[in-house]
Amino acid sequence: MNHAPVLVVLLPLLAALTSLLLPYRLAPWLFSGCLAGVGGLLIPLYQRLIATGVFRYRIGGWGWPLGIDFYLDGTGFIMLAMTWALLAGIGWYSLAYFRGRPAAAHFWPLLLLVWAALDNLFLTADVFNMYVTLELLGLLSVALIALAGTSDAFSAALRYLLAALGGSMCYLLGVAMIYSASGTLDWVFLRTVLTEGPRAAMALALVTAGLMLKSAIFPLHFWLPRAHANAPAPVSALLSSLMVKASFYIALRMWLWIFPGVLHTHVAGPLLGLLGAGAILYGSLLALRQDRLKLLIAYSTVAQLGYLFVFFALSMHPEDVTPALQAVVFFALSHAFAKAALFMGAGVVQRTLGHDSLDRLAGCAQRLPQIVFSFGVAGVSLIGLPPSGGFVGKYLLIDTAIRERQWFWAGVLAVGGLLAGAYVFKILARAMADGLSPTFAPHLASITAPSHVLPDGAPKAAGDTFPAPATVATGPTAPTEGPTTSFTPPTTSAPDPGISRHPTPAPPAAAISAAMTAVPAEAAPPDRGLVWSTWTLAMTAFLLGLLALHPLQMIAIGAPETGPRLPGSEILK
Amino acid sequence: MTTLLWYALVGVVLLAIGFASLILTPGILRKIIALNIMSSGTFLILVSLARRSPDPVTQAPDPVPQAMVLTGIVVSVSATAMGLAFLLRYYEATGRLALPEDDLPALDPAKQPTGSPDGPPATSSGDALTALPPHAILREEPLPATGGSSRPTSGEAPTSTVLPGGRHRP
Repeated sequence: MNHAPVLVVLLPLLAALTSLLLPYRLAPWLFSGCLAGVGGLLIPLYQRLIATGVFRYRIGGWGWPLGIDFYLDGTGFIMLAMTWALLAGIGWYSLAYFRGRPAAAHFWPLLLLVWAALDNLFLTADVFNMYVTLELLGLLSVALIALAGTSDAFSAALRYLLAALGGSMCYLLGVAMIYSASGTLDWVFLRTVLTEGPRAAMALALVTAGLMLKSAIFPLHFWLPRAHANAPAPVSALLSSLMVKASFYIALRMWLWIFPGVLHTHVAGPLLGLLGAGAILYGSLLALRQDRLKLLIAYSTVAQLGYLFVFFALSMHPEDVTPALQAVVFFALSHAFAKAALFMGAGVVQRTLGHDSLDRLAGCAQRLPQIVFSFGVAGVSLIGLPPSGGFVGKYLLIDTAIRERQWFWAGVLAVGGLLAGAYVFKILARAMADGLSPTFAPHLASITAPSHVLPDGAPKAAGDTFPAPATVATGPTAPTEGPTTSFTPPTTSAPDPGISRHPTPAPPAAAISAAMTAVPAEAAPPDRGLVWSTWTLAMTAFLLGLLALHPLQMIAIGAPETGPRLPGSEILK
Repeated sequence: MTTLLWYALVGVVLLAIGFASLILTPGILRKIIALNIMSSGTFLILVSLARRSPDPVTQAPDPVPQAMVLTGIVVSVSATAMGLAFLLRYYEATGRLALPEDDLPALDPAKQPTGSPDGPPATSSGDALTALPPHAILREEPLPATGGSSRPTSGEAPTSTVLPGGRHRP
């Protein structure tokens, strides 16, 4: 078990390459095997971390300065464990989501590669290696987004690709500056050898700018909502929960471990905090304005990432940075679970209803009770109510702000919680509204207005070129009469106004049979795996606060000290 | 020393050109090329950094930045290939070579070039990716303006795109 750190990376990598050779039906089995294997490898890592504190692993025995080392501390381990747990949940969900679909052949190898890249990122001690994993994650995300196969997904993927490449180019230039100022790329030692001066300042600026673009911090968030909303549901969950944390993790290492000993980061920290505050307000307000469920959740990600950057304003002054670090890492952890659950739930809604328009969610609570329950429970974590994980993270952040007497940031965090409450309740109110939308009584509504039950959902404007599905378009009633294009508003309590407003005009038999054959397929109850994996992740986010003590202790292992020396540097001797 | 400064300056200028082009030009192909120019600039800077801190004994340049450049080239080539492949698919699906500039697609679904942001990607997941016909992007004649159900009907595409083979009207 001495080689557990490198095996944690190698196992998913080898499984990904193997799954490309085998028939793709075997890929989920490989994935499950990896889950068991990596889970088993995390245990010795955990024991070693508890027993001896931070440690370093020399890949191939090369060691510093020639080799690229792995370095594990509490923060890194929490990230590894988070990756494992979330991939278990997302994998369970994807098993049902991609069953029998051609996209599965591409999805599983990509997911395994993402896993390997994430594990490598959280373990590596080399800032250039971080660049490589960032690029890997970027390219993999692009491929995963495009699995949706729609042209919207293509354009979102392209936009993301361009943004990600620009961001990592910035980061690479910053790494070059770091190297020229220090002569090493190992972030554990950089703090001691990096020399103060314009090159270090330039390096910090470039690295931060690149990472902000990659983690979609306001005002560089332009690519995120589209990319996350147009991807397939498991991919959205993966992107919003894990991918954005990857670049945040690097920023954390830079701002807490490397540069505080070198630069006056407490001057620049509040600037990042202001951007974070802007993200909280802007993202939440835009989330409130969305009329698609997945877009709302994506903008909520923009807002929640703001909290992570407000942390940089809070962490620069204190003598002991550990409480703030615990707060922000735990916040990132609980946000990952809550956001994955929300996106997975949105995927179930979209698959069951055929759309994710917020205006037509009425009746969801009767139809998909576990999913709406998951929305509520994960929303509690996003808002930050006890006993959720979000509560603990947000409470610790506000606590730090108050202890440092930085009232402004405490106020921002509180307002952010209120706004999160607003958009979570927007989802819940729509989903719990009484009355059946036409989608739920499709065999009735579709007789008068077949366009309402098109699988693509939204009522199309006249003259739209979208081709109607064959089953409905071939029916004689495909050209709908004008007045019926007003579908049921969500607040209407009448069970089916489409019928009451239009006394059934004796529809042709062909239309009825077309509606009857077209509808039951999409009105079938969702797969149990989809529902229960969502539920599990939501409950994890909800109950994480009760289990917070031990993870918080873990995060403190290897937290940066205020002095120039770092834990772990003595291991080299 | 002046040569090194020259390299670094050229690198910075290339970087600036690439960055400006990445932001300012709408065409995706130009953006991809701009990214390549940016990475060339970055690599030049890295190479000049390598010369700047040579080995004290042999005066050989520092190998670490050169290794970084090599890795960067590999990344850049694969990213470019992927970007071009995506551009091809995007062009086949929508007939345009620039990203739609509006930022809020869901507020006005009728303006979407094709299909369904809130349609079920589940039911067609991956199908469209494999079902697309293998058109060549460098065809001679332009696509007919109304051909295919997925073409954008709004008039913004011709102003913001640069189609290969010329999309000139006679």
